Amino acid sequence: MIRLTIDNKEVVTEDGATILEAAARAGIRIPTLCYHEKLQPFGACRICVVEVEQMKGRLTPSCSTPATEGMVVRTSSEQIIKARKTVLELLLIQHPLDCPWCDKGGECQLQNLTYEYGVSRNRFKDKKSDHPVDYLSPLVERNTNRCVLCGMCVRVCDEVVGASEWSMVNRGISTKIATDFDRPLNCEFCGECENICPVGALTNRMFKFKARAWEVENVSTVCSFCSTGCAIKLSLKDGRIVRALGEEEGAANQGSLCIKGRFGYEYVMSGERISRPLVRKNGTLTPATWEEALQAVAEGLKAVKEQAGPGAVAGLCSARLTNEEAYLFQKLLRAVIGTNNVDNSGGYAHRGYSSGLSLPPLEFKDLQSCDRFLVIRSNVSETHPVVGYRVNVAVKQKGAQLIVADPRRIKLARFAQTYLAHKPGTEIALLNGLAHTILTEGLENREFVAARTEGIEELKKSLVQFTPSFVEQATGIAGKDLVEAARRFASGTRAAIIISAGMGFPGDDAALARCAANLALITGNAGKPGAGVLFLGEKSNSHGSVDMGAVPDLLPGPQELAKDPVRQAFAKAWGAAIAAEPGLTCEQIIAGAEQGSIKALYCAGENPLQAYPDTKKTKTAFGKLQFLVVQELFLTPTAQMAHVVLPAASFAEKDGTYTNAEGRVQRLHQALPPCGETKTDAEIFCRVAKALGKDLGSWNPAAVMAEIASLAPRYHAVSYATLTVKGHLLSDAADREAPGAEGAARFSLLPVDVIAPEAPSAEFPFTLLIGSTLFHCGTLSTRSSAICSVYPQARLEINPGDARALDIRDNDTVQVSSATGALTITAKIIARQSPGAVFIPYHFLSPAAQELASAAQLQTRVKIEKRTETSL
Amino acid sequence: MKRIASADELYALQKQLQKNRDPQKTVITICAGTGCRGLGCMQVKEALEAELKNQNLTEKVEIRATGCPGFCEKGPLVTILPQNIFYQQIKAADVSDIISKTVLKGEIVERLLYQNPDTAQTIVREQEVPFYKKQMRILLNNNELIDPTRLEDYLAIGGYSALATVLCNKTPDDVIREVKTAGLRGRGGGGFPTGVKWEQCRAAHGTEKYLIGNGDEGDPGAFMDRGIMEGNPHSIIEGMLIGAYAIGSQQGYLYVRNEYPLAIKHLSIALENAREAGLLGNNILGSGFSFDIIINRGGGAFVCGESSALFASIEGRSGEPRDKYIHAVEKGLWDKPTALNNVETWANVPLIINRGAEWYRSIGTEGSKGTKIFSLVGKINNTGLVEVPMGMTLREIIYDIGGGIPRERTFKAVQTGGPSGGCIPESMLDLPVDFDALAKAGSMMGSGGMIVMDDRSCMVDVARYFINFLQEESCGKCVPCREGLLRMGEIFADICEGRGREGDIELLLSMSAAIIDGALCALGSTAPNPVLSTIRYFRDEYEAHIKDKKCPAGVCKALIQYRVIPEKCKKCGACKKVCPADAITGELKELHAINPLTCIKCGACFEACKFDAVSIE
Repeated sequence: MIRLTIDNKEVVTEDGATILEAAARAGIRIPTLCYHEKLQPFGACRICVVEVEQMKGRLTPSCSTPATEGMVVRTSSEQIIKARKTVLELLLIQHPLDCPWCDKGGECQLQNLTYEYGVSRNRFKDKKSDHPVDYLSPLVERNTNRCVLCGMCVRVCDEVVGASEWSMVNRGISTKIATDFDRPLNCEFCGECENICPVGALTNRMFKFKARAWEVENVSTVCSFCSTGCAIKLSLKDGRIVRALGEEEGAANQGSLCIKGRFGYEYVMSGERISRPLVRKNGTLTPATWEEALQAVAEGLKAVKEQAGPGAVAGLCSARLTNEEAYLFQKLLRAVIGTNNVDNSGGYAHRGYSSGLSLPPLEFKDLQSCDRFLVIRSNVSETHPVVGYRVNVAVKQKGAQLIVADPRRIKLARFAQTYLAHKPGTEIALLNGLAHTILTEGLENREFVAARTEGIEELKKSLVQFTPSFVEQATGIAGKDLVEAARRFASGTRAAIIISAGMGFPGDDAALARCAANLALITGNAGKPGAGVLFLGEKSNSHGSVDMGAVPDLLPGPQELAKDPVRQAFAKAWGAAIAAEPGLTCEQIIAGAEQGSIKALYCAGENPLQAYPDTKKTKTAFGKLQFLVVQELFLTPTAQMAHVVLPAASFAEKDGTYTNAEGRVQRLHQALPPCGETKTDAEIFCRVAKALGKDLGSWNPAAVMAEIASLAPRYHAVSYATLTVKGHLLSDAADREAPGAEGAARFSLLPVDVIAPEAPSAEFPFTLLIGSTLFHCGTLSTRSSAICSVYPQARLEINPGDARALDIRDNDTVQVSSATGALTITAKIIARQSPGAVFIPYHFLSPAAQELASAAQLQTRVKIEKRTETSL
Repeated sequence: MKRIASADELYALQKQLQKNRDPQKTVITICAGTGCRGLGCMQVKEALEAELKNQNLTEKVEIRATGCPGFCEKGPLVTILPQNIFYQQIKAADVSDIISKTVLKGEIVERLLYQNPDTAQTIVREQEVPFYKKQMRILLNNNELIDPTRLEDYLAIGGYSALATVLCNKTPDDVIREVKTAGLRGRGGGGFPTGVKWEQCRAAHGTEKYLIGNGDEGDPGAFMDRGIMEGNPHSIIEGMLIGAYAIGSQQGYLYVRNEYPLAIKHLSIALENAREAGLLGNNILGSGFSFDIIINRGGGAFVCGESSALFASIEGRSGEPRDKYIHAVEKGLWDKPTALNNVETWANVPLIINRGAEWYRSIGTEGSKGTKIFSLVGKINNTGLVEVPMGMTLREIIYDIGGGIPRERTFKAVQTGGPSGGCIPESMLDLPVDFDALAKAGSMMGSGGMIVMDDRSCMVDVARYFINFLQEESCGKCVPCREGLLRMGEIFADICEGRGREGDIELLLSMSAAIIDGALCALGSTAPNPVLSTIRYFRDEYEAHIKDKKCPAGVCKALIQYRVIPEKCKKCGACKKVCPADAITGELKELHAINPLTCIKCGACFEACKFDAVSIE
């Protein structure tokens, strides 16, 4: 710790803190223009200058000067004020002073400082700069006339986002912020640059001329897309959302957002929202009143339950329901209908964290203290961009070492010390190969293994076959590269393994999670901040949905259904018997529907016909249902098949909580009134229960959370009364410092089988990778026009060599077919795609990648043919 | 060259090479530095070679193309050894005389000798030329003894002995102590004690440390470093090797501006030869010490001479300085401890080791030891590189060595320290040249540029020149430098073009203070020095510009008018002939007059008139 005096005040600060940071901690504000806590000090604006007694003679920039013991600092004096005023005066010579129509007006740092320092006159002649404004870039407008060259856009883009789209070009007075050759932006469109811009040089085009900053009302809530759980603020004017901002206080994101969070909210206000209940009459969905619709639902469900028993009813919910809603949904099925047939996320995408992983989740902020990363089956920069930023910061600013294993040369591979381009679907073999190498080379953390784990011998035995040469054959990774990666991983003191889940990935997440945990444990990466396995669920409440028991074998907590005392506790609380038999999984529900054993299905926000693999099969199965009720925002393909469609409120129209991938429970606040006649999912579930003659209790989210807290020990401390914008980190996550408290952490030692990927057949020579793009998440984002302006439709990503061999050029239309289906799609030739494999994002209705996939198989094999004019 | 495996082998080789040099053999040395090349020395060299071949003398006479001995004013320079006959301003046509008379017959060609302008006597020996007489050339004298592209030449004059001494007999701490005792201070301008820098770098955490030779010499009119890099590259390399040993570095960089192709060529050859001889690379002289040097070429940015911008440039980033909240000796290049010294500083190191710290500290003043090379340019008779002991007065340098002001004009000021320095007036000519005295006078030693100005130099224009130079060279990162210098330049434009306003001087002073206080790096924070020093010593000139709209020196075109003085005009037509704008009326034998409306104020008439009949008002 360092002691210094700032403005006659004794200040104690940690080593390495700058004067600015020390002052901030002591509540002393020093003005800045080019400083941001997320970025490395830059020292360009010279607004933050202070006087340091020990550095007499010149003023000292407080943003970049470390505080030292005994330093005596003055943050304000005549000389300092004069220097700051001169800087402002100089900046205002060229600045256009077009504040009346500048969108940053009211929250512009230059404006505020000019006001604060009373710079009302300028000793210099006005010379307004007159650069053309860049109106060509999507989403972000660039007006360099207003720029103060603080460099924050350049630095956030490089140091945090890792896109390096902006740079300072030219020199001296001609310096400006530009892309290469001044072309329009072609980047990730996260908007971090416009958000950090202290003036109106970069502005949000969606917000342009929508409101003055002081007119809007900001509502704090949580982003509805991925499981990062970024805290956001929705700015409202006249009952409409005019922009989304990252919440600086947000613990998961510290104010950062990606394109989805910042520009993806429009779907909420889409004209395509279903605003009234629909009931199928004479074969067509017809608008109905809520009474009619609820009556129809009750009758439909009751009929099936009475005819075929509760086991013929099933429910699938979206991982975007709030915790309270997911809880009510499974309660509706378990306590009112009487079945455990409830699942989410295709039944397979949640298995990594619902049944595979035995380690507590990692806290995102701790990633920045990691010195090793293994990123495997995770294009984290695209699936969870803001988590990706943390990895960037650790690697680019703090020198952490990065190992990336991915068949596609993903963004992180650019910063990686080791990049392993393995064959698709062979992640497990690769992880086991790493573990094998570490154990045979004696690189494991013996002390940790001995003290905190069990079963090392069995693990060793089960890993015997994963020799480098075996792994090389399985994965295509050269033995020496595997060994190098293993040594690199094992040499760290704090390593995180990052894996993304999603409905595009094959369903072996549980085994993958176990192997990753093995690797983390043998290297001692557990029980300390930032060390372990980060399994990232796909959607905003992927983790909460599992916690709330929206899966067939878990009750809220999650607690094991199989355990009698658990079941009894719930039975008592709910006043209903709970079947001991686990329910059917998604796959079994769909299979059951096809075979006729499932007759009624309740889809709450879930859209299997677009998001689940093997669309054709699902469609056939759903066609056989006696009763299908779909609760949705939009008339999705699944809703179109429904007997009753119940219009639901979006995330912006309701209160509730989400639990993110680090186990943080965060609060949603209602920003807008429900659209049309829509109701929150919670209210609908309660009304459906009522129509069925049962009481689910209050749908008030606070009351539901109180009920959850009383039944789920992990959620005991969660209460609406105490939830702040920082959320609540669930206890197992908070306790990770001492997982040994209840005994040594357990090794999961399930012997691992090698699943040899099928060799490409002559008929289907390519492996199809399905997944998410940076710009979309699930299927909702395709309803946001801003996002679609950047990424309007799915394209087939194919390696240049493969494209050449097939005579495919960029933007050619190609036909892709697999054993289960076929589609036509535009080709995009891209070097990051590995040869022999192609990639299609799955978000879109058409072409829908999931038509080609099969839930039964880990790999989808396809053939690709160029479509000629005549064949069209 | 064969790899030299040990110090003993080195000494043996040096002896051998010395022995091979027949002291009686005729050697024609010719300066092949950039300055003399501009004056045609390579044609002279070719002519010499051709002539020797013609006369079958190639075996008997050696031609040695050397680096710059300093007297650029009189180049191309040729010296005939062993007689030590000094010829100047040699053209290819003079070659046959040199060979046939001097080389073959031992006769002196009178017309090629230097003539003392004061006494009109010719001088045969170089050291007797007034330009050289008062100099103390401990660095530059070697330039004449060696062909910089031949390692053998450097070895023959005892090169790399200092390295051998250090590797065999001294600990790194010994070396640092020696350099500290010698009192060597950084020659790049800062004047930081070199030994202290090394000591801090040695003590800094980590095993990976870097050494940099800064050869990004960019001050207008300065070419001291070029003289050493071109003329004696091995002395820099040897200095860096010794520094590397002292600090514990394995890798060095030489950052040389790309506008110095010959320096880069000579350094590259020297590095290659040293590497081949085992004087660079692994296990140097069998001592176990390893070190190598890479050349990095600068891209033409003046600011890259600033240490942190230089690091950024080597690292492959754009050359912008960063706040030096942590010293380079702890976190420099690639964030590793780094010792950055000017190439002249490095070249001093072998001298200190060879001749001892006591000898070195006997030269110079209390606070500034050793010699300093200056490039003497501007309104001075003897333009060139001069090496003098610290503490010599400006008057001695300008008048005794530099030969005073040409065309019988009067001295007005000398600008030292480049764009970061200041102008020193006549009244302060007896100032001893050392780091502290110059700083006190409002200027600085800088890297050694010395621009002499006569009464026809406008001090406002001089300050304007430097501000504009720096404004163009500002990287644009920090606001005070980027915006402030531009605005200062605009104020100067106003003053020099007749739009000066009351209060402009105060505004310049206030801006100067703001820039000194606020700028990020030394380029900005020293940029106002030329302004401050000219206002300090020549405020009346500023006032004349602003209040009277006159330029007393007759430089600022907007403020002057050329006029024919009827009483003096001899009606010869000389002025009319040279006027490019046809602004002069009056036929031959008629009184001439200048039409102020068409006159472009080029000054051609003023220069052409032999009767001082053209005046500037």
